Amino acid sequence: MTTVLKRCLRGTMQTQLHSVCCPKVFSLEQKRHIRWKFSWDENHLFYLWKTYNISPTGIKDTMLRSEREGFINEQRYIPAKALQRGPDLAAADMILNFNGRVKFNNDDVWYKTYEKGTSPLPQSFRPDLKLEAVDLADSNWMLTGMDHLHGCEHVVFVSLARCKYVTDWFIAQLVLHCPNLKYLDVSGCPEITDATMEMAYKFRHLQILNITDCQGIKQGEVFSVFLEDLLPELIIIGVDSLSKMELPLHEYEQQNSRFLNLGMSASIPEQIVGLRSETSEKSTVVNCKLNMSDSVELKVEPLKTESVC
Amino acid sequence: MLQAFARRAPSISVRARCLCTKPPTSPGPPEREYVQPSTEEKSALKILKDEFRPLFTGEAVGVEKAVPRRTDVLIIGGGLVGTAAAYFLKAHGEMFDVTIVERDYGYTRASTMLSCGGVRHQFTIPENVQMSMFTTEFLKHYKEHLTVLGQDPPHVDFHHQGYLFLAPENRAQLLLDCVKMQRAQGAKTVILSKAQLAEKYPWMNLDGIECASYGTEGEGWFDPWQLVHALKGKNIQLGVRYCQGEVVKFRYDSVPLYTSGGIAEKKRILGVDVDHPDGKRYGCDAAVIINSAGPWAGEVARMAGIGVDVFPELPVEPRKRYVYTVHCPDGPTLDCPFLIDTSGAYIRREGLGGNYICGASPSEEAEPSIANLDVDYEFYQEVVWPSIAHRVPAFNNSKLKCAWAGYYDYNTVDQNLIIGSHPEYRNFLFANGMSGHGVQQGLAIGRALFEYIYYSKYKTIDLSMFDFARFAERRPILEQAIV
Repeated sequence: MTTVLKRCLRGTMQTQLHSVCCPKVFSLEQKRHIRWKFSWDENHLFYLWKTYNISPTGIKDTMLRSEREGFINEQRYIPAKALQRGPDLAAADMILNFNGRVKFNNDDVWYKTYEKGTSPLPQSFRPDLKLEAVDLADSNWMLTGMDHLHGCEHVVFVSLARCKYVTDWFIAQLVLHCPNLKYLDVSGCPEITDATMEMAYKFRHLQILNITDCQGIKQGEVFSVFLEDLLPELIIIGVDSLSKMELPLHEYEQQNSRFLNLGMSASIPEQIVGLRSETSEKSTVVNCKLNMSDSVELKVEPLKTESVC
Repeated sequence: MLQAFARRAPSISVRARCLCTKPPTSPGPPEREYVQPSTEEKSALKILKDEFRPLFTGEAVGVEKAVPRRTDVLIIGGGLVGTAAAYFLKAHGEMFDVTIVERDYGYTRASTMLSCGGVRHQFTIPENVQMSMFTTEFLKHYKEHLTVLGQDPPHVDFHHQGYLFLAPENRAQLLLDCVKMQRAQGAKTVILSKAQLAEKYPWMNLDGIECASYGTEGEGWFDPWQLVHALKGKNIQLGVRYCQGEVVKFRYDSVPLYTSGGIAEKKRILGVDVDHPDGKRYGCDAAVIINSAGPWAGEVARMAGIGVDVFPELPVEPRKRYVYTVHCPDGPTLDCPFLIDTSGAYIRREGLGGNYICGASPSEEAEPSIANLDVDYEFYQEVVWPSIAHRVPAFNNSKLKCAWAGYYDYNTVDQNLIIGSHPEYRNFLFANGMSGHGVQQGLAIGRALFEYIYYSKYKTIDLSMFDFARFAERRPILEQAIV
């Protein structure tokens, strides 16, 4: 029956075949579903034992969870696809499926899915096309989606603005896959924290880092001072000025670092304290690497900051 | 003649004898009221009656005893390993009745809270690599796993800095083989040559270094206190019972065993006796008992008779290790990884104010005493500071700020994990002996214990080589990359 149907539909678009006919390979689960039999095994007992929360918040939580799992499933990295079409085109395909935009190195056009759902990308491997820019602003990009950038070393522009699922682990994957990044935009992401700033120095060619409206970044000003040291060409957008720090760095660290406070009750014997104190006496209240003055505001060379327009 | 022997003259005076009539009692442990564990079966009607009794007596909720009289899984020790095991046992559903017995809710001596919290994939045994990778995977999605409905999502500050293992020339080949094995397992470690090291870390003195291995993704450090806190919150939502108390005794059941040599007695662990701070001693029956007491796992095992009645004993003992906080104004800032020197000393950055955390493992002969958690500053002067000042010359100008000490649950035989059931007492499970890697492997161990209890085999990571029987079979598994 299915082979007859396939012969009739031959010549039409390949993608529609899968939705009409059954796929060739069945897993055990699919076989069970098709025959409408359900056998209890140890994994199915979890459905019986789970406590189902049927309050409105519980139902909303369950729906959000299944939505998130759906995204993770859709963005799974399939190595066979990357082998067939090349990593750049496979990544671009996945990005376009999720309302993103891409740019290649041959021209200056931002590619986007057409309204009918078809894709403007070439279907076969093109060795001259390299992915250069990725724009995933306002999308539902997941951590599994970052696996697609494996092999795309020519990417220089990544924008993850206002993506609600973006965390620091995304930036760790970017460090791994795209070390030649020049522009990184994570503005408006609520889950980005200071760990992103710690990792930003690993992009040796980074020129612009946009962290406007990131509520998780608490010490952006101090990090930008250190990043300026390590990456001289860097411009950090979204950091206003150092005078906004409410606490001096020393007190902020004492309040927030558990490891600095673990040994506070231990008393160091006098002969140990006196030994190495020749030039470290000038470590004043604000223990920063640069030369400090006595006032609370750090007087350093002017930061190359710009307020976002 | 007989009368003379019978009537013996007193050798001490009468007054002294009056004082001595009551023999002096030694100050033993105070008498505790014993609460029996439940041994009778409850009928369905009785259970229903217990459910509705609060309605009739006017209480808002049924009053439970401090320590339950019976439970399915009893976890001794509420550190990271115990909490993770309870989480994985309950995560899929309310299949098990899980109780955690912890004697110190302040965690003043718990190894989890006193550790540096580093996670590294660079081990020499593939299963260790897989366990650390499991921890990294869990921490990637910890917000989805551990958010309690109606509360703020938890924080685990993971710093993605990576570990840097330095190797001299004679160990360079070993390092290359290890990195190859780690990459085969999926860890993203790379080898850095001397030239690359000089370019990436100009503040390091590369005297005697041939190459180094660096973890590019998933390695770093985090705060284990926050992870345990988040796990505990989720556990309480899932219905894990937390009891404060100290396990003092194990109770057994004897079954006659008919052998060719006669009738022997086979002992089976029924449950434990727990001393609660309210002065009572509760008996608790349990189907499965998990030993996750950390450094004191050897004591708990001896209480259960392992090492006393059945041999071999559990070779886990506490070993004290020091961690020192140092301030150095000119030290490396953002690009300082978790540096592990050839001499075994380690150092990592803490915060941005020029503070660093360092330490080293003492040699076998110079093991410090475990009586208390006092810090030995001479060790810093003689062993730690020379190594790190030689490797990072900026530390010649540094100042020791403070220090603390913690216990490793040290496996004296091979410094690796002991997991699985005891060959004789099949319902007594071990999760001990991580020797300093408990924080990295705790989540994987919790998951493995859940799979062992539910599926009777390991599914995610095969940890059957770390069983207890290897001590009787003289099959130690040596890990060479111990820090």
